Parts: sequence; C-alpha cells; structure tokens
Amino acid sequence: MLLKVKNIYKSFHIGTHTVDVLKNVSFQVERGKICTLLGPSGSGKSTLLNIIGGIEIPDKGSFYFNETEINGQNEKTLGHYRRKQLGYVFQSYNLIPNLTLKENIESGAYLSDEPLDVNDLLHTLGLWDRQDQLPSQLSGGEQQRTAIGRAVIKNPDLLLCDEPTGALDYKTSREILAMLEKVNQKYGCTMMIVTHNEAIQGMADQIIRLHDGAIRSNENNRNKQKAAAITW
Amino acid sequence: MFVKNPLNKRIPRMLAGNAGKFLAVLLFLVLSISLASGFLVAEYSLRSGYDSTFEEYNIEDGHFELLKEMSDPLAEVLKNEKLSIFTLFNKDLEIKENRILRIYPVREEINRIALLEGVMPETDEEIVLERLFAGNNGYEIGSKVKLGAKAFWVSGIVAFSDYSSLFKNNADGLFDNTHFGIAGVNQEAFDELEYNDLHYTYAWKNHDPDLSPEEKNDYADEILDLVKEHDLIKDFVRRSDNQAIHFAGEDFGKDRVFMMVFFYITIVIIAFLYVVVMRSTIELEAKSVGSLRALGYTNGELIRHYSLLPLLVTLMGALIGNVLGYTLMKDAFIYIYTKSYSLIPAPVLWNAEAFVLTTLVPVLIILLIIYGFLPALLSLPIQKFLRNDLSRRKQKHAISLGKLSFIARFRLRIIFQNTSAYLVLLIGILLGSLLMSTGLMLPPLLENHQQEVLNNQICAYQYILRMPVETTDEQAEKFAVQSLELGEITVQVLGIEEDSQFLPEVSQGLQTREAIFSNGLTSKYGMEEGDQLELSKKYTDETYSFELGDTVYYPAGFTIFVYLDDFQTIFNCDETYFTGYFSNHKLNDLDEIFIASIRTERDLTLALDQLMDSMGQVFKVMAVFSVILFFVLIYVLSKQVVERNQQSIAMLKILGYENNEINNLYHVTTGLMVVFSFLISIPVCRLLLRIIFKQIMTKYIGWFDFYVAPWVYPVTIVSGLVSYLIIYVMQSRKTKGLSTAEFFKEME
Repeated sequence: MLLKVKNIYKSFHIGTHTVDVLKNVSFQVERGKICTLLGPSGSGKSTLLNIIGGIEIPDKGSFYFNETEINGQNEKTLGHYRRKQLGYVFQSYNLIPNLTLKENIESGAYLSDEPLDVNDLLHTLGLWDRQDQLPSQLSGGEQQRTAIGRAVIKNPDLLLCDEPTGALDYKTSREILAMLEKVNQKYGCTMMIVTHNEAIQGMADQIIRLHDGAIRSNENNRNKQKAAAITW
Repeated sequence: MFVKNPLNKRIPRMLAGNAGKFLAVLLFLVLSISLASGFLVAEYSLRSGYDSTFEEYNIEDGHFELLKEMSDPLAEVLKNEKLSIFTLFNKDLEIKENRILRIYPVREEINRIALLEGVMPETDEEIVLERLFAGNNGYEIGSKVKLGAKAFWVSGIVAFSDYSSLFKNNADGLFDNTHFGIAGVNQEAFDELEYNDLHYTYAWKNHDPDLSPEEKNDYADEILDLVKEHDLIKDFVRRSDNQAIHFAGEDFGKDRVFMMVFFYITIVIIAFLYVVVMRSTIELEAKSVGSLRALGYTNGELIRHYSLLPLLVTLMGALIGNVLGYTLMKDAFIYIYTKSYSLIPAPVLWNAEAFVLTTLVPVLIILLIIYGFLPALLSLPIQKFLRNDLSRRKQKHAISLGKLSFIARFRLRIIFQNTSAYLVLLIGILLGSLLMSTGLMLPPLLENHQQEVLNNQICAYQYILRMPVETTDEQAEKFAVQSLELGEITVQVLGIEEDSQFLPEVSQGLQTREAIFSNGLTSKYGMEEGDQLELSKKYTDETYSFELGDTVYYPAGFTIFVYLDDFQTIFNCDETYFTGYFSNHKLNDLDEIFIASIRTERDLTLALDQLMDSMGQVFKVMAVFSVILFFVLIYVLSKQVVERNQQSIAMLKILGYENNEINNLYHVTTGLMVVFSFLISIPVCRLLLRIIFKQIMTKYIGWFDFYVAPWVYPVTIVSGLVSYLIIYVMQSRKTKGLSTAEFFKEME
C-alpha cells in the first residue's frame, strides 16, 4: 500500500467561526493506481490533497506513505518528502514565466536524484517542438502539459493533481487526461486526481467521493475506461 | 543525472525584465561607492603624499626671522650636534597691483622644491612659479614676469614643500593664492633683485628624526632663548605652528564624517530598493514560488535563487564603483583639494580602510538586509503563495465603511488591500526625504554658519600683537588669548575686560574665577552648568581646568571666556600681560613691527569662503547625488504600487470602467498616499536629521549649529510629487493604451 490515510480531521477558523473541512477521513491507495477524489466545491478535496502533499497539517489523525508516518514530521522532513516522493500539478499551471518550456521541466528534474530523460518526456508529452517557448507563448493545454512534465520528470511515487483540467476546454481537457493516463502507464506513478468533473472517474482505478468533509463512498472502479473513451 | 539548478537560467531574463530597476540600483551603487571610495582614496593618497614630503623634501623643524643678518656669536652657539641652520632669505616684491611674490633662491638642502612642469631656473633670467599663483594670474611656462626693473621668463611650475597653503604671514587668519605667491630664482638673480625689505630668515632642522613632539618643542624653546639672547628677533615659527606647512594637512578628510554618514544612508536606501524590487518580483511570481515549494524546492534554494541577482548586481556595482573611485572620482576629489592647496603630486595608494568602509561594509549591509528579508517572506506557508496572498495578517471581517460614497469606499478598500505596499512607500519616502534633506541642507548650513559668524563677530579690527604694546586709543580694548587642546580640537581661552564694550553680554554674565563657554563647546560635549572641562597645552604636560558657569552663543569657534585678570592668573602671566586689542576702527598709533596680524571682516569672510571652497564642493556633489537618487527611489516605489494593482485595474477595464475613472480610483489614491506619506515623513525626517546631525558633530572636529534652510523640506516634497506625477502620467497612458483583449490576457 503506497498511501494510508487514517481518521484525518481538519478545521479552519474564519473570524469567530470554525469550519470543519475534513471529518474523520480514512482511505488507502495502492501503488501504481489512479485515484480520483470527487466532490462539490467546499467538500474538502483540495485540503485533503494538500495534507497528503505535506502542505497542510491535519488537526488530528495520521497518514502513512510507504508505511512511514508523514503526519507530525517537521518542515524539513516534509520538504524532503515533497522533493523526493511527490509531483504536483495545479489547475492554474503556475509555470515560471521567464523559463522556457524545457527549463520549466528541468526545474523539476533538478530535485530528483534519478530524473526521467527530459527529451524522452518532451516527446511523450508532445511538446518537443515547443520546448524553447516561454509560458506566455503556449496555449493553456501546452502549459498544463508542461506542468505535468515538471511534476513527472522527478519520477515521483505519487502525482497529485488538483483540478488539472479545471481551466481547460473540453478538447484540451481530454488531451490532458490522456496524457496523465500515458504517464501512469509508462512511468507507473500513482496518481491522485482532485476533480469535480464526474466523468473523469471513468479512467480511475479507485473513486473516493467527499461530501461536506466526510467520505461518502470509496470504491474500486470495475468499469475502468481508457481516457480517450471519456466524454461529458 | 545531475542537473545544474535550472532556475538560474532565468537570471538574465529576470535582469532583462527588470532592467530599469536593476540599472537604477546599479547606477546608485556605482555612484555612491565610487564617490565614497574616491573621496577616501584621494584623502589617503594626499595625506600619505603630504606626510612623506616632510622627509623627502627635508622640511624644516622651524624658522626664525631676524632684523638683520645673524651675528657670529649666535651662529656660533647654534652650531651644535643637535641641529643644522639653513639660510632662507627671501624678498617680497609687488609684481602687479596688489600681487605680491615672495622670491627665494632655489633651495636644494632644506624645504626642497617639487618641479611639476618645465625646468628649474638655470640662468639668471629664469624663474619658477608656484602652481596656484601662476594659474590664478595667467602665468605659464614661457610667460614673462617683471620683478622690479628686471624681466624673467617662467621656466617651470613648482610646488614649495613648506608652502602647501600660501599664508603670507603665519599669524594671518587666511591665505590667498591669487594675491600672494612664491617663486624661485637662482642665487645670482636673487642677489641682483631690487627690494625694499630683505627677510633674514633662517630655518633649523633637528638631526634626530625620531624626536617626540615635546622634545622638538623643548629644542625650539632653547633656540628661541639663544636667538633672543644674541640678536633682535622679528618672527619665530615652530613647524608645528606653521600654518603654511600644516593647514592643508589638517584640512584633509575634515568633511569625512559628513561623507560617510551620507554614504551609509545611501547604502541603506539601495538595500531597501533591492527589497522593494525582490518583493514585487516574488509577489508577481507567488504562484510559481508556491508550486516550486510544493514540488520540493527548499526555502534555502529559493532564497539563494532570489538573492543571486541582487548579489551579482551588488558585486558588479562594487567592482565598477571601486574602479571609478580609484580613477575618475579620486581625481575629482584631488582637484577639489589642489584647487586650494599647493600640493606635491602624490601616487594613488591602495587603501585597505577605504575598501572595507566603502565596499566590504556596504556589501555586507546590503546582504544582511536582503538575507534578513527574503527568509521572512519566503517562509510564508505554501498555500499562501498558491493563493497569491502574501499578507501576514489573518483574514478578518471587512471593515464596515458605513454610508460613504462608492468611490470613497472603493478608494479605502484599495488602501486596505495595499497596506503593506503603502507602508513600503512610506518607509521609502521617509528614507528618500532623509537623504535628500541631508544632501540639500549642507550647502545652506555652511552659508548660514558663515552669516552667523559675521553677525556675531566681536569687532571690526582684531589686533594680535607680537608683544604687549599700549595704544592711546581709548576705544580700543585689551584682550588675551591662549590656544589649548582637547583631543583633536583646539579651544581658544579668551581673557576679556570686566566691563567689555565688545562682549557686553559675556562680561556682564561672567563672575570672577568663572568661565563662560561658547555654545558649540557645551553642545558638542553635552555639558551642563558646573561641569568641568580639562584642556592641555600643546607639547607640554600642562593642563587647565575650567568650570562651566554659563553658555553664550558664539559660532566662530570653540571659545572659553574668562576675565583678563583671571586669564593672567590661570596662565601665570604678569598683570600687564595681554595679546591684542578689539577695536571698531584702525589703531593708527601702533607700530607695524609690533603687529602680528589684524583680523577684519574681510579676513573672516575669506576664511569662511575657504571653508566653503573645500567643504562646500563636497557638499554640492552630495546634494546633486541625493536629488537624483530621491527621484529614482520615488519612481521605483510608486511604480511597484501601481504595478501591484494592474490586475484589478484590468478587471475594472473589462467591467467597462473608463480610463479617467480607473485613474481616479487607483492612481489618485496612490497619489493621495504619496502626499500623506510626505506629511508624515517630514516631521520624522526632521527629528532623525537632528539626531544624525548631533552624532556627526560629536565626531567632527568643529561645530555647526543645526540649520535646515526653510526651502529644503518644500523642495523635497515638491520633488517627490513631481516624481510621482511622472509615474502617474506614464501609467495612465499605459492603461489607456491597452486593449480589452490585452487586459484579458493580463488577467490570465
């Protein structure tokens, strides 16, 4: 088991109010699988992803990565965890504006002791011809593919994707999903995809539904589809 | 596979993207480091050169002038193992109206001459002229100079090692290198010169070069006794008292403390500019920074990355600044000194102290500020970067703005949203105003000092006598003066009559056995009534203690006033002793032979002009520099505030707001904040200026009263507003010029 989340609680204080964002969340994810976290806005998906990513600290509970408890570690250890084990893809790409496409990907490679081959990855992502362009010269899809490349090149055990298609049109979104599937198959990295797009669950091995901070369902997908077959 | 940090590949692009800002910072680093290092290198090189002339040019240990040629018995007693005597006869000749030239035969043993240009006189028709007098009177090599009936050709331009300042008489309060000069001819030509008055001057040089100042003084006392015993003496000057030799040396670096304080204010401002630029870069890239942190980049890696460009620019600025400091700026500062003093050219010397003070310390200050700021900013939680919210404040409820108009509420929201940026603007305006006020206040401060000294002068004619001689003029008033030392500074103890007409306020306030101190002295040492001040007499172990009875405003110098009777007691003089007269008109019955010098308002003005000449030039350089830096600072600060709101401005444009409405909301609000910042800054700046000025004065060897000309602050404010206005116009044009499509793109 790559990831084990046990009884996680998290709340935020806004003014005099306390909002319980996560309530007793527990689940496990197997190595090499694609897991989608589904739920409406405010259900706690991104907070959960941030906790798994070592960005947020839960109030209660614990989670294990490769049988090692991550929760409760200091910032230095969390930094090392993010650096060596994780890849992160955001909805708004967050590329470095004055690095070229290839250099943005290299900024991920720098963090890894054994990164993937940049040129090979550029071909895999279909970005070879655009490698010397700056982010401002790229389309949204190309920027997101670059962001995927930056996260994947580290050869991470776990790729966290926070609404990776949220800012993209239908056609480009499908391209990105196909790309994530290809990366999963080729490099074998486990993926957690946060989305509110119900259709994406079709390509997942495991589907977790969150509602109002609690897990409503957690099931294996017996009808897993190819990304190319997904429509909405 | 090892990959060199790819983030560093963006350094040239970051530089290109912020070229204006970094170029401005680089320019100021270069200017300030080159100014300060040029100043210190010039001062150090000149001082080293000046110090080395004593041995290299065999400068005298003193000289005396006799009424006639030295008698054999005196020559006999002075011939001893401890010293050598040299003849330094000279003649003063008027070569044009009001132009006196002091002619010496070319000396090769004592007080040697430095040839700057041309050749030394070989025939009896050739003459060498001191550089400043020659320049000020249009003489050059080949010019004709008529001495009496005989014409000479200028064969060389020289510097006399014993006349670095062209004092005609040692008791003079000033030198004037236009109306008085020195020249050298060969012995034959000298002997043939027609003259009214031959000066029988003899110089002495101690054989032992390692004598202490006290021993030298004792030797001089012995020589004086022997000369008085055998011959009639006209003048006696120890080297340590010789203004022509020492005045320049004492002036080098006098204004150093002003320059260094100004320099360090500039360095703090430059570090502040870096912080502003880095902050705005990180704010613009907040999401990328958040992503990098989420990917596993450490704070240390990002701090190193974001500090690399400022570090490179700082090192480049330090390098170029030092190169310019050792070349152009050094020459400029040397020119300021050589314009007033007749100095022997000195080689440029590497100065470790200058390097530490102008390069190492500033670079460390900048790095400390950068490395203090960056970790604080980059240590914010990752999600803050990802949300593009770099404020440290916890989210609170929006402040209720009641029934204000929409525009007023909008403007207030802009202010609340940009609190940190406006705070930076306020700090920047405060620092900038401090720098500009410091730069602008100094030249009028000197002028004010000059005026105050003139307004408070004791009398129109101050006679200093060679020995006490009575006058029949009943309006003249006796006084006595003695110079004492307090560390590096000289204090005059002035003995005045009990019912002084010239210093009525002082004489009425004084009590027997009491002293009144000039305000500079009490302010510099923070003295209060009843405090004691112990002074010493130069080259002796005699000390004198004075108790502060009262303070009087007397800006001319550090002075302690006592009654003449007390003066005689304190200094163990007989009861007829005095030094000179105060008078408001000429004293015609005094024989010139007894008069050492007469100080008039003109002398005072010229002496103060000399101060303006040497210090004023440096102050003017500082003033110009401060004005330019101030403009750039306000430009960068205003620009970062305006840029910060570019996205919100884009949104307004998309919503359909017109350009003038957008300007009215954003740019006018920032303009109001600029005005508000100035209103707060100026009183704080005035307070800081007072504190800094007081600190400067405790280190400075003189005293100036704190004075800020009334126009300094208004000019500072107007300059700041004009600077902001330029940004306003530029940004308004930018807003107007952008299409909605471009705004959309900017939003993304």
